[in-house]
Amino acid sequence: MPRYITSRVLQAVLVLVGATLVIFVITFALPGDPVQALAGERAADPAFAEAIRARYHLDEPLLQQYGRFLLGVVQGDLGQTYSGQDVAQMLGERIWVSGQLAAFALAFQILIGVGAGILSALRRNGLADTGVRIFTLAGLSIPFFVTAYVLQLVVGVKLGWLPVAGTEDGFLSYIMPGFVLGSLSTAYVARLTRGQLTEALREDYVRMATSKGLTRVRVVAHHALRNSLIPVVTFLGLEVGALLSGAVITESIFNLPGMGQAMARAVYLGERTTVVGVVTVFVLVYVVVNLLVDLLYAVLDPRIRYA
Amino acid sequence: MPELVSATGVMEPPAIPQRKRRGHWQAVRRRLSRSPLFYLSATLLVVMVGMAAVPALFATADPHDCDLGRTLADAGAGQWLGRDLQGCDVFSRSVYGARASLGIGIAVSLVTGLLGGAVGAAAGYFGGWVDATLSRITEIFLAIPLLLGASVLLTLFGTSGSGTWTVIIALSVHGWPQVARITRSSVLEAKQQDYMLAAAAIGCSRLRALARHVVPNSLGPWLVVVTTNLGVFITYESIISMLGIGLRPPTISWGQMIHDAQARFLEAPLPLLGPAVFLSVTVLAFILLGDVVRDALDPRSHS
Repeated sequence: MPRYITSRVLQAVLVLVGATLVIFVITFALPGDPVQALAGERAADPAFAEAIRARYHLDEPLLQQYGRFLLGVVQGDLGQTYSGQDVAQMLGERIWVSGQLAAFALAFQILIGVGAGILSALRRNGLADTGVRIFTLAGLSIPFFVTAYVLQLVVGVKLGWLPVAGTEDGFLSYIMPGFVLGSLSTAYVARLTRGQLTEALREDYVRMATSKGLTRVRVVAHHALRNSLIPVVTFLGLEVGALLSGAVITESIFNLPGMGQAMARAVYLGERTTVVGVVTVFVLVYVVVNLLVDLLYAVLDPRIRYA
Repeated sequence: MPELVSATGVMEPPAIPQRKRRGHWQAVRRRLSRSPLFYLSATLLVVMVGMAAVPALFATADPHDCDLGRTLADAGAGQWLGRDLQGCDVFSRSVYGARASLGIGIAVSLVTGLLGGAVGAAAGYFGGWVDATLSRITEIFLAIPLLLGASVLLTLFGTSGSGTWTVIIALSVHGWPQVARITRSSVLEAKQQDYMLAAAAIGCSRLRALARHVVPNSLGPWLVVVTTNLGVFITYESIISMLGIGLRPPTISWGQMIHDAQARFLEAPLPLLGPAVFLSVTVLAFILLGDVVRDALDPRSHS
């Protein structure tokens, strides 16, 4: 086990370094001269331009800049934006909003997705199953930003049940965006759970559990479900990437001051440091979550033991 | 020394009755032709491809013939989905939008399918350091969220020309790792089968074994992911265009129409819902097709 963890952590570090390098190289070529952008419409004063370039190390070769950036990341420093704001601090203020949004989205995915999947698998080809299948197909085909606009119109404006945008209403503000963001993968989770549980219910150990007189609830919850949830957990881990991407759009539509919104704005403005900073945080979250998922296997499936 | 007597007429090989041989792919085709969902998705796709090819046949008006005086007009005679802010016919514009959206979806699916398929197959088949290198590269690209990576790339292309090609490149650069992962695992599985041992035993070269045995046997999962991805990439194109960094006028695309309509959605929902319905129906058709193909390839999954 310790050996497995060590190699897995090393692999995660490699992915983190590689992914940030890719993004770093890409953003390095972002259009527009940041110095000129600061100076406005007139041509920048050469002395000023030089001072800025030296301050942000723009005059150094790319790899040296990247090394400096990595050194900063290790110390928790993501650099400064061109307007002098500290990126790590700015993201620190926003990460709470994005975290809450992600938590709501994940909760919806698990509650609705796994719930619908179980219902569907237990009542196969019944009314509930057909309903869930139609619902999941609709969920897969309707783009989530369209869901967002329709919900804003119906639930927010017409019915007035939930706030339309912003974060003034505390956790109520997160229900609708969380549902929208979660709807990205809820349908996949439901399908996956249904398929896995259906297969597990046919296994010998389930027949065994039933024949020794366990109740239906116990058979499903303790024997069948536990094994069928392993692929679901893996899927949710891999979906973290989609969740983070989706947050960029969801936060923009619902005007939530999170990291995704910062990212959308930074891409638009060509604000390199923020783009690299946000992607670094996102990749870090993705890598850590998937590391945890891999280690969780052993807990969920007693047959798996890491040597 | 007795002469060898050839036993003609005695050892006549037993006549094998000519029967219809059913290969794997014939069985797949047979299962496909029996599925009603296959016909449903095929019909939807034929209509959509028709729209992309000859939009004038389906549209009720010229999409560029706009009447500012009738901005945001509600649905009425002649305009099934009303008019947008510029006074253009929403239905006709949606019909004309099929070309860009379908084209990009198909192109990105093909590029990511070929690239991811090649990388995954090489990693799974050759193993060793090839696998280690390719798998690490795949993981690195997989860790960058697709939409983020694509939007960063698109901003890089900037105003200099965010056209169809740049959108295809941006989505492809970040879309292939998923295909590579799936192909790698199915190639790994095919490689360990007994028929590979048999092929090696009769002196089949490694390349021939790859082409004749591994590729046909691991094609199934690849086909499913490429088909399903078609719908996914069409959605991504619309998201990118919706963010305002994808396709630009005069190209008409559903994402861009949704982008233009979102500000006025509360007063006039039709200019947004119209293209959204076209988008959803197309994605639905591809998802159904992916499902049907999966069920046809693996009869166990459907029972």
